[in-house]
Amino acid sequence: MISPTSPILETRNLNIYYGDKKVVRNVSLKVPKRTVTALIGPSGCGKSTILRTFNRMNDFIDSFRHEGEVLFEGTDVYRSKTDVTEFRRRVGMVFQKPNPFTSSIAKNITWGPQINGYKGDLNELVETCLRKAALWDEVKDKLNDSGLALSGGQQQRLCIARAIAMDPEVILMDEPCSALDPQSTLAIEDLIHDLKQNYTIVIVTHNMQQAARVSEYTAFMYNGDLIEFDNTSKIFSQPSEKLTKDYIVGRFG
Amino acid sequence: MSQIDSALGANRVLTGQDMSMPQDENRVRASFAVNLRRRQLKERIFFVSIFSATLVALAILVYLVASIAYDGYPYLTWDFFTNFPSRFANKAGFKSAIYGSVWLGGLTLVFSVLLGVGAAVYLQELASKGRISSLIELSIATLAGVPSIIYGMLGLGIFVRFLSLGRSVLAGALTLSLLIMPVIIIAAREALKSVPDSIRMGAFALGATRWQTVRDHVLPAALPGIATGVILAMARAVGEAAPLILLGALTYVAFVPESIFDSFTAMPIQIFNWTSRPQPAFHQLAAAGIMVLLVFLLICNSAAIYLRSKWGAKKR
Repeated sequence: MISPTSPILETRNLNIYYGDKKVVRNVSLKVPKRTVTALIGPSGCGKSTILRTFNRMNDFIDSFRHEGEVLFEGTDVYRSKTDVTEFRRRVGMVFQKPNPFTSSIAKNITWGPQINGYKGDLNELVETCLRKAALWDEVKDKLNDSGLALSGGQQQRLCIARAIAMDPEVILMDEPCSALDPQSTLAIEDLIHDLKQNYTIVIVTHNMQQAARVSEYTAFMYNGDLIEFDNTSKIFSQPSEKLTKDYIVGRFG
Repeated sequence: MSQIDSALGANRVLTGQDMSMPQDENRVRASFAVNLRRRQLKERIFFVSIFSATLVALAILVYLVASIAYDGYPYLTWDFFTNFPSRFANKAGFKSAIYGSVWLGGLTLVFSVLLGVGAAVYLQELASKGRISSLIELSIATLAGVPSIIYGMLGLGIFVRFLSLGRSVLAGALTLSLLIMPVIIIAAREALKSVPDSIRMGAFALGATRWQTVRDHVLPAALPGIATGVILAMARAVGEAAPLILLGALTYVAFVPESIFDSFTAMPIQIFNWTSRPQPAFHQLAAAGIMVLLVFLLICNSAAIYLRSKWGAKKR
């Protein structure tokens, strides 16, 4: 297991329950800064659940309960003093299904900054974010059109642009390509590659080739347990655990 | 049969002569009793019965409107709109009732939308889903079915007597607001429920508070649905006579309300008053009043449908 000296996100002995059901078991994981970390594993293994503790999106599930610590830059995000809205600004999220707001493309990007009291030039912000999300050239002439008029792949890049607009430190991606065609998937993967210069990215994916292509570190989870966490190249070439190997070669999952 | 043959056989189109099924373990074995004639007969019966249901409803409506129009037409003159009620049928007019209904409707709209949509947003978006919230839900559904005359008694007790608002427009509007609030709450909750959660999650993930999320994304998306509920509820409020009569709204009002504390009458009350008189001329006046009330409702509903389609178009 790798153990970076200054992780940006960290879980310590994390247990998660939905009601009586224990879905994550004693997971300790350190996510290094400005890297891409992939969480892989079969459906229901708890990888999305862990991802959602990193920005506390589990708060909306009534039966959610946790033990242990989830640290962002060294402080527990579940500490009662944490202002969850400010914290979510710094830990952005891109969802499985593209979910642009029902407003214009420009408004999709400016809304987040505006409600958080952004002081700068909004037009400039729109252009910067759309450029970073590799969408500017496709939409620069129709910034006032509805975000829903875009294709699925474009919508997802718009959602990434929307997340970038908050100037987050971390971007969480929950199977961002599972609803997209291969071409759009490729565009998003290229984008992830560019974004890791400035952001820490944690991506949950069902697609092992994708994990191998985009990430530096990979965590393999199975049935609520963290089985193995290591350099992606090591996980995919010589995993230490038999379970990891079986999953990677497609024996189950 | 060789393997290749059976693979070909599986793809072969079955014709009438060729009923011999190839031996293929993977196929579903089933026999169908198609009985097309019977199914088509049932289809016809189904079609005819739903069509005649529509026809019957429509015919009754047409007959009602036609007979009212026939009765009321002679009295639909300019004087009818500008005169106050009178003991003499040929001098009696609908002015105070029209003004009263407009005042009532406007105030009721403001109160019931503010309170009803507010309550719906609280119950749907903020309140934790538990035993208390399902108890509240049940109570509201029950309240929606309570007879309007009960609301009249409530209004009389609370607004007219306890709060000493008297028999004013304000007391009437507050009573009608109570009456239609359950309907608005239920409709608004349904509309809010139909807004996909992904929109809320998207907003929360950007660091939005619940209020910012609801204000900028959830409410706008739910607006067409909420508007529909409000329209239906308002149509009911404007057509109500019983609770207002119980409140003590006057039936003879020879002035137009000028403030929310003035006494009032309303279209349904005036119509009720005219129909309960013995002289046939007053019955014709009532028919004329009904026509005005119907047109009033028609205009309100059309305006609302127009607004709704405009909002709907903008969103796409």
